[in-house]
Amino acid sequence: MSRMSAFLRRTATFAFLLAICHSAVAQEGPLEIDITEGRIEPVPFALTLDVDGNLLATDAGDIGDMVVNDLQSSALFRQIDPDAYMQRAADAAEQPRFRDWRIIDAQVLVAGTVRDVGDGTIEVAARAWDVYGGREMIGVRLNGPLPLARRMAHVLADRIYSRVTGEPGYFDTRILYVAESGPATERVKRLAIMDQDGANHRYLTDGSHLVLTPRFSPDGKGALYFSYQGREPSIFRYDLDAGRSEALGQFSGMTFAPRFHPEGSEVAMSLARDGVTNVFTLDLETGDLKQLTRGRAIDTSPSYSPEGDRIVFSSDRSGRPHLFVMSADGGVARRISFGGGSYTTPVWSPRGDYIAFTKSVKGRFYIGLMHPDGTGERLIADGFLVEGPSWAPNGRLLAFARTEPSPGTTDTIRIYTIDITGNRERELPTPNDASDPSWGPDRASGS
Amino acid sequence: MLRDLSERTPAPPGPEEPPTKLEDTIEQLAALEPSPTPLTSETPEQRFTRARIYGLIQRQIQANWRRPPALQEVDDMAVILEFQLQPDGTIHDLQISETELDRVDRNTLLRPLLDSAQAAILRTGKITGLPPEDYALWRRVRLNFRPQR
Repeated sequence: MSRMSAFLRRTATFAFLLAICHSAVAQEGPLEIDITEGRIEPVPFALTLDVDGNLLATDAGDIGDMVVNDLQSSALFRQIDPDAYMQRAADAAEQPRFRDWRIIDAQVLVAGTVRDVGDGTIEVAARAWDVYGGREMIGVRLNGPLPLARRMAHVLADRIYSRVTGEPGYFDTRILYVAESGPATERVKRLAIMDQDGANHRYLTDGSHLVLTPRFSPDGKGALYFSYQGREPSIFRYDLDAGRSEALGQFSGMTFAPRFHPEGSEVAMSLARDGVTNVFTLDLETGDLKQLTRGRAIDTSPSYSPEGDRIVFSSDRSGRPHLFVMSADGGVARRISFGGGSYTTPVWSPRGDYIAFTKSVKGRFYIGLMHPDGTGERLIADGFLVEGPSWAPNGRLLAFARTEPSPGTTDTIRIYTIDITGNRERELPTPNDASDPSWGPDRASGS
Repeated sequence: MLRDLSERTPAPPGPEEPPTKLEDTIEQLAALEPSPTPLTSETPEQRFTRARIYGLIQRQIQANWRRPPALQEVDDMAVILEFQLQPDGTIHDLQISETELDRVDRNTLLRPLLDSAQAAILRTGKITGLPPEDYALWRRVRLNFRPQR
């Protein structure tokens, strides 16, 4: 074999080996990559509704603004300035030009119409679009009388919220609370109700008797509250449709801290007799009263699990108020809180995954969460005095009362909402001081 | 307290350190990059190349990913999407498997995750800086979107 051919053979062999080495970098399947980090920020959205001219001066003309307010109030959405929109509302309602909406970085486009269909009825028809994917996410069509325009806006906001976040919305809900006014020595406390955005506010009692701890019924048609009227302070039931209240039976002793069973058929409450406070249940149909706890401790603030089979309550039987869970029929109560300080006002999440509570430690107050087995305790709000959490029906937000000291004058007390991550705290608009919030069920579904 | 460098006494000379091997340097650099699962047949240079490509694509997609804020409290959520890259890095042929779509249909919380993942890929549009000589390595990409708490 000549030197040249040997050289060429070695070169070819080397080149072949080199090719094999290089192709070893390539792989059979796709390159797999984990994407774990990103930006947590509100979803940028655009909303454009084409509204009939004769509706512009009515509530129907404000449906778009109300939907925007609802979504932005959740802090999970951010509206893109309408001045940046490049497509007219009427055209976007027919067919969005996605390129125009991508330019302004709208991730979601809500486009639709509000039409007068006669006889005092309006129709809201809207679609939410995935701008980058160029596809419809959800279509909503609502019909109703003009006076229900606000609720239609809230329902539309709920549907969009739910489709984009995967969580149920909470915008078509109301909040009961105690409206407070006057100096501390002559405090007036009235029962009040409002939409979750502060609209449609009205007083349910006239302030002649103090009211405390209002609780929405599961169907949203009524409420329980504690009041100093009659021979002894007691629990009252309020019918929201009829606009009147009645005492919930006559009991020896003082009853307070009532909460409905999830099915609305009975009430759990505390009853104080002879210096001892225990948990009782009251069957609303038969009037039967059943004692669940016994002993010399103060057992109070019972709250049912969403299945109605367990009750969490606060008790000082171990020396200081802590949280206990027992069967809804009574029996052995298992302690679930073990931290320093005092645990009060427990309330079970409608999803069953958390118990919210008020905690006080060394003179400071907190709103906290823990799982029903007592694990995972964390504190999501704190202050001079924060207390009395109440769950939104989607189980992802809480309302609570926050008191700020005002030296020389009456302290300020307002209702705030916060999400379960401890973020997005915001004050609810109320005409006066406000306390003891009770967040009602979704009005459309009653859940 | 201020350090007075003028009072420092030089340290006595230590034993002479052996020269750094190129292979060791590449190993160290590869360890700094986001680490794909190594192929057992890879050399350190190949591992470094794959790690660099992995990091390039990961960073550019993550820069455009708006994580669904409502998923902050949820563990073990993931969606998988695949796409192909043209030689200039342009993303095309974005695909979601039927299995993945079925999973999303069964769990409403996966829907916003899938939407955000798609939007992240489409907003990115093009991956820049990829080595053309290694096109076979990055021509097809599978992304596993797994938001961490």
